[in-house]
Amino acid sequence: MINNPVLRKELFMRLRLRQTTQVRAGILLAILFSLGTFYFYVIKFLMGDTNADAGATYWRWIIGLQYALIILITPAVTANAITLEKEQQTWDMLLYTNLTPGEIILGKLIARQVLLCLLLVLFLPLSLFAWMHSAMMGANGSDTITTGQFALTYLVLFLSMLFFSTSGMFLSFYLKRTLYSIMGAYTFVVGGLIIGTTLVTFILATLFTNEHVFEYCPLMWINPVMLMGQAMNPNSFPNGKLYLIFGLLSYVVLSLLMLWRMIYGFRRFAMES
Amino acid sequence: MAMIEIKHLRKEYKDKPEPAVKDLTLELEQGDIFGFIGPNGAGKTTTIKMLATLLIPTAGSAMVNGIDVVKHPEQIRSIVGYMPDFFGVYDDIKVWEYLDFFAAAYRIPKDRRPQIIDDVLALTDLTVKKDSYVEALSRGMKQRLCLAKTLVHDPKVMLLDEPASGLDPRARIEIRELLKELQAMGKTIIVSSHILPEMEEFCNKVGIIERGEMIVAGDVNTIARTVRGHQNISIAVVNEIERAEAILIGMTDLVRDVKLTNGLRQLNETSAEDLRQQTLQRENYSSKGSVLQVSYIGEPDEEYHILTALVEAGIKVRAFYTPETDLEDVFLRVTKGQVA
Repeated sequence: MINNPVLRKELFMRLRLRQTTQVRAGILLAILFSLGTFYFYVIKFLMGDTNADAGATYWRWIIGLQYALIILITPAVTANAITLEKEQQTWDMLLYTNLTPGEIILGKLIARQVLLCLLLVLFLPLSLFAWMHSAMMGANGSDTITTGQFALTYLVLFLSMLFFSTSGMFLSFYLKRTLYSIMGAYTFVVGGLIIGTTLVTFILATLFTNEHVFEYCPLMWINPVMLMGQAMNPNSFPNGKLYLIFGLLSYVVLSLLMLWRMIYGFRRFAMES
Repeated sequence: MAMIEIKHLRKEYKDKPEPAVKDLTLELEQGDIFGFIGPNGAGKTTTIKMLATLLIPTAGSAMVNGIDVVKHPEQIRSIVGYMPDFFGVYDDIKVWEYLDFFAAAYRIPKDRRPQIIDDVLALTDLTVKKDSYVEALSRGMKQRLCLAKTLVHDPKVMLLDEPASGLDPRARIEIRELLKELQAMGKTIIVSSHILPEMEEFCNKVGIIERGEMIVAGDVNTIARTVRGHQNISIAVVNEIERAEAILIGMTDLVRDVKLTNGLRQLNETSAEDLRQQTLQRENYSSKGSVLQVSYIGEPDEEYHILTALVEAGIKVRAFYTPETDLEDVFLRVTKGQVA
């Protein structure tokens, strides 16, 4: 996979900053400054907070922020993967090579996943710090974050990123314009997965006058907010762990189905469109 | 074995009532340069895309070097180079990186790529731009870069869809010269273009397509002869131009018409002033030698009868040749400007 020309080109092109050395240094400084300021204030407030739950609270905020960024950034990053090729008229030339559909699709997807993973890496030290603070400062009976919770949240972050990325790619594969593809990806992730599932479940809860519908409705399994909530607090209600397993499984299965559809129907769709 | 063999090829699109290509049959040998001519929307690009495995034919078959384009598209892509009519280039990538990417995409081993890149850059005269960013190249250079990209895997057959479209005269000449070099390298090339005079210069065969149908295809001169019903022959004589003209006009079984060129008007002008002018011009040109344009209607390859007659009559013939075919004239005669 590392020798995949598409992956190498995508990574190379995306990580290349063509500006002059001064501009390049300026961009790097701005990123480091923003991140440093954020790190500084979070650590400062966390160290000054005497509350035993502070570590866990800050940790949840940091994870929440990362998740929000993933939801906001992923559709924009992935939904242009193929439409951009179509718009700049390079798609035909890419098709007319000996690259396999898998190499083209996975090359583009993995390159974008790597970039999005950088986001997780940037926040990882802070997240680790808050987690360790919670473990060391947490007293008996206070809110602490277990290793399982820590691992589970990162699993949700990673699999959500994969699912959102694949959805963006899927739309990019079937649509012709980047604008429509990005709009479609946001509609799916924000409008469908977050708002849509909540709204439908709320209507069902109202119709059946049962507040536990939120706990049982399968639609909520794929709601990203609900999933992350369950990863952070797996015991918040009786079926929490089941939610998490089905939710993450749904993300993986749906991602694989979309990938299979794209790769298997690649040539035929590309030839007919 | 023919290098390209197309039989009854047909392509229908779901959203169009008329087929884009219908019953297209064509055979090309290795080294042939085939000029694909037709109005916009005639079916040239569709045909080229079917050969390039980018479109599936509705019916018929197409083979390149004996390989079916539908059954073995991967093998076809290895031996055929395709340059689309409209293409873009990646931003933020240098010329050599662009070629290296496509070379890798054609499975060329890493250690062989630098040499191949240098070779195709030299061939397309882009060596000095090796480290330039692709988007900084002019339109003509991008066109040559695309041609270089088409050549990285050393294809036997090249499909060039309007390679000179939208280029200024200098860039067009550069592309034309490049195609001549490829021709010399023995590549079989299908090239579509609207610039007909340039096509006649390097194409040994042409095909005219309209509304998805191949109207005529074959050797340029044969087509011209078929369409016009005669073959043009130019004869430059040193002396006695009037007698030469009279001899030729007398050969009614071989010659339909004779015209005197070098600025002279046609012989059938009838006004008194025209006749007087012609006589004056003829006197001038007779002393310097002039060219007679003969419309030959005899059997092909028997034009020598005319030359023999002139020489035996004591006419000093300076040159005897078939002038370049006016492809534009042929094109206009056979097409009606209809699209599929």
